[in-house]
Amino acid sequence: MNDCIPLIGQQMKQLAKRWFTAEPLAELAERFIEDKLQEASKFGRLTVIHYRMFGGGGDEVFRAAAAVELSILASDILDDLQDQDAPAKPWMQVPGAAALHVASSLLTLSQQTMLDCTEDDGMRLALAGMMNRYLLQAANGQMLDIMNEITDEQSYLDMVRQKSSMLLSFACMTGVMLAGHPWHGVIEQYAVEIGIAAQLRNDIRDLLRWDDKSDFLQRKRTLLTLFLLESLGEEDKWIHDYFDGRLSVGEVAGRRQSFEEACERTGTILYGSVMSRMHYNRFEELLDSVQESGPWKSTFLQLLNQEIA
Amino acid sequence: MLKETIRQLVSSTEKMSMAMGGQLQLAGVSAAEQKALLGELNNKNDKNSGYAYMWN
Repeated sequence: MNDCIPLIGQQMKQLAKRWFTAEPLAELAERFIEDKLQEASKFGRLTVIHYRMFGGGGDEVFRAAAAVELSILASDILDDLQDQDAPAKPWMQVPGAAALHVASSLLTLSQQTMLDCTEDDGMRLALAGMMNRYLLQAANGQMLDIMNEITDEQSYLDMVRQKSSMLLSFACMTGVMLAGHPWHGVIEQYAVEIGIAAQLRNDIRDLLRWDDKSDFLQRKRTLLTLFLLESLGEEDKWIHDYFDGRLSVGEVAGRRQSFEEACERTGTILYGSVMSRMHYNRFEELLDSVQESGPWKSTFLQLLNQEIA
Repeated sequence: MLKETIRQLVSSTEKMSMAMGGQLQLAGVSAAEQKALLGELNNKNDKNSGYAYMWN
């Protein structure tokens, strides 16, 4: 399955070259695409796997996978511009207006590319509708994340279901529908479970880091910070004080070790791991119930378990 | 109940050992939660046991 990575990348670059005739737009888009390709096109490969799983055999899937990856790239750029926490990314090293414009152009390019994946008008309409529905749901989830107004576990999981899982559903369903199969409820369900499982793994990583992306230092409400805050002892009062704004970053900067100890002692890390595993287990159960997955199961699991460098 | 069970486990080495050995009654914890909990406890030292990060 790794052999499709260059084909997806090639499509992305060709599409940008074809449609972006303004030289600065073409140049920046190419630079951003090159950076994105370092992540090994995971979403695009989900599209290809599902296309093959459901009997698709043509090369048009690489164009569809490129459409998916272009959408994801646009989302990544917008996310980084909103969070202002990824200074090493090339889109954070150009004027914000230019980065914003490239992101919106990539979104439009991804939609045009999806329309060009097939000559069947019925399928084209179905793909475009599916794409917009998922991207709109992801937009709703992203907004809830930006506002950081999560109050409880359920609202957090609902936000993740929209923000992260809908992009995975989009990637998987593109392959299913391009292969000529109608929208598939179980595929959407298992994509949701993968999304939640992966987001919770990311939350563990982001809870323990101690830089601009630290969920704690950013006072971000996640399943884990909520659990941590409700599990703290008297000796951890400073964590509450920081989260509620009574202490500044400067005042807690030297307390990384105490924070890590609190995360371990309260069971926060174990709780996040267990919740993540539970959603992953549910994904595997659902995958087993999809008859078409049989020969592709190991490839699929291998892709999910590959870590981005 | 899962939350409470985890809090109890991390505060008691004895309970944690029993849970890892499958000898602890986990009342009020669903079958799915129990399976995930035991899966994590048995892979505690395997940092690469899960599914990877899908995005940054």
